[in-house]
Amino acid sequence: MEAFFKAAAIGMICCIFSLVLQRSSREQAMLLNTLSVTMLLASFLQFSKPVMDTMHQLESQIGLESSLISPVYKCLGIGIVSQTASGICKDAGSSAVSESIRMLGTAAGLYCTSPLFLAVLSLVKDLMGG
Amino acid sequence: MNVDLIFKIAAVGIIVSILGQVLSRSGRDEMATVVTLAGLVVVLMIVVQQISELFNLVKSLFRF
Repeated sequence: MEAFFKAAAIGMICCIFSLVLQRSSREQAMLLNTLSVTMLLASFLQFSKPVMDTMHQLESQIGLESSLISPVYKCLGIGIVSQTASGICKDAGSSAVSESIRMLGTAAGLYCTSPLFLAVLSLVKDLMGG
Repeated sequence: MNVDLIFKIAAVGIIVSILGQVLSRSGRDEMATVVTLAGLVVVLMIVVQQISELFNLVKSLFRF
């Protein structure tokens, strides 16, 4: 739990410094914001690690194929990264870049999950006896 | 999580902005620009390193 309070403190300290720096140099403030977002996201991922380990254990106990569940994890990772990058760009005032990153994230998600759709389709075909 | 990094970057930012103000007030605008750019590069290097570590973490956690 100490890590959570540390992360909250980092967020607040960063906001204060960012306000101070925004008056004189906006780019330094933006970099400070980016650093704090990176650190907070890394902290979030550290918290998620035990959850992911539990998911992997469940997956092996059920006997689920890795090729079926792997696109879901990839999609989750792409979503987290694209959302964060898009938010940083929006904060910096580049809405067009932000929207492009969002679209790229959507396309990458579709690219990762397309084998899953094909697998489902072949499964349905097998069930139908085709 | 390294809180020191936040303080380090904030300190660099404050020092660079003070130096930039002093230099531009004394009529050395080109030097002020150089100092601002140098500060930006230093901070950018630290931030890029952290972003790279984050991406590696994402890759390992979500099995890329």
